Amino acid sequence: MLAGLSEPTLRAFAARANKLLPGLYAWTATVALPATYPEVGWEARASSVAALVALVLGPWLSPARPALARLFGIHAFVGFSLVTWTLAVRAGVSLAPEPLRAALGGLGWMVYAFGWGELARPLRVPEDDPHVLGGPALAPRALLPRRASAVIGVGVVGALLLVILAWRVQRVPQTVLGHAVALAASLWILSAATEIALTEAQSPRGSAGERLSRASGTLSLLLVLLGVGLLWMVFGK
Amino acid sequence: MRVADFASIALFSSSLGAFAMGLVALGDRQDLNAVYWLIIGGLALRAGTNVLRPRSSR
Repeated sequence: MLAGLSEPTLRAFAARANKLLPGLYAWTATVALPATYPEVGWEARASSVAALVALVLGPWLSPARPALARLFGIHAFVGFSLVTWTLAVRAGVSLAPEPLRAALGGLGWMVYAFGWGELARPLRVPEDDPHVLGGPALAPRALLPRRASAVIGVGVVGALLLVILAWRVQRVPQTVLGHAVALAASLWILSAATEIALTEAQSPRGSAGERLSRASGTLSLLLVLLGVGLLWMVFGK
Repeated sequence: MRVADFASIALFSSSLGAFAMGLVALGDRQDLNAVYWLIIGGLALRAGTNVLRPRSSR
């Protein structure tokens, strides 16, 4: 059926399918299903249908209007899904009656997020360009210092630790929050570890005083909060 | 290695500890403590990376 189509058309079709199909699975497993329960009102059902419309509109608009496509395909879809879940929970419906179904639904949302990511372009070697000047290959001026690898290692281990710690949370509403917080914190930790490790390998950026003063606002707020916490610990109990 | 590098790595490690404390507190049903430690973790991580950045990139 697809044999007569050109390569760009096939690529565009595949890109749309990558965005749409995981989203459809996530919507069916986690949004549409709670909206079908008899306890749920028409508002939740309307919201779930609106989420589906937004999900379909996003990939449909994606090649020509990328900003609008993201608005529908990501923000509106996630927003209407959240509204549906909130209304369903208020109506007394459990969003995760079975752990397996909940896990598969979570997997669907993960694949949906990957679908909206940009795939790397086919690898292009700059030296293969016909305009490149000939000569011996340039060696890097420096290797990453050992402490940069240590920072990355601490970041990876710490991120894993946070994901494991999230499983300590047993209460039903807070489990989702615990996993969401652990995932967000892990990603942030990994990103910061990479930034710190790469900056360690570069030339210094000003004196220690200048660099510390760049973080003075955040550091001040941090110290104030730590002080409040200390006072609370001493006098609050 | 400069003082700022130590400060950056110390803040990074502290943020990791604070996030872990937040999740432990959430598991121990201490929601207020959990929120407090998660905010502390976020601020420490933000400060740790701010130390490294040139002013123009903030």
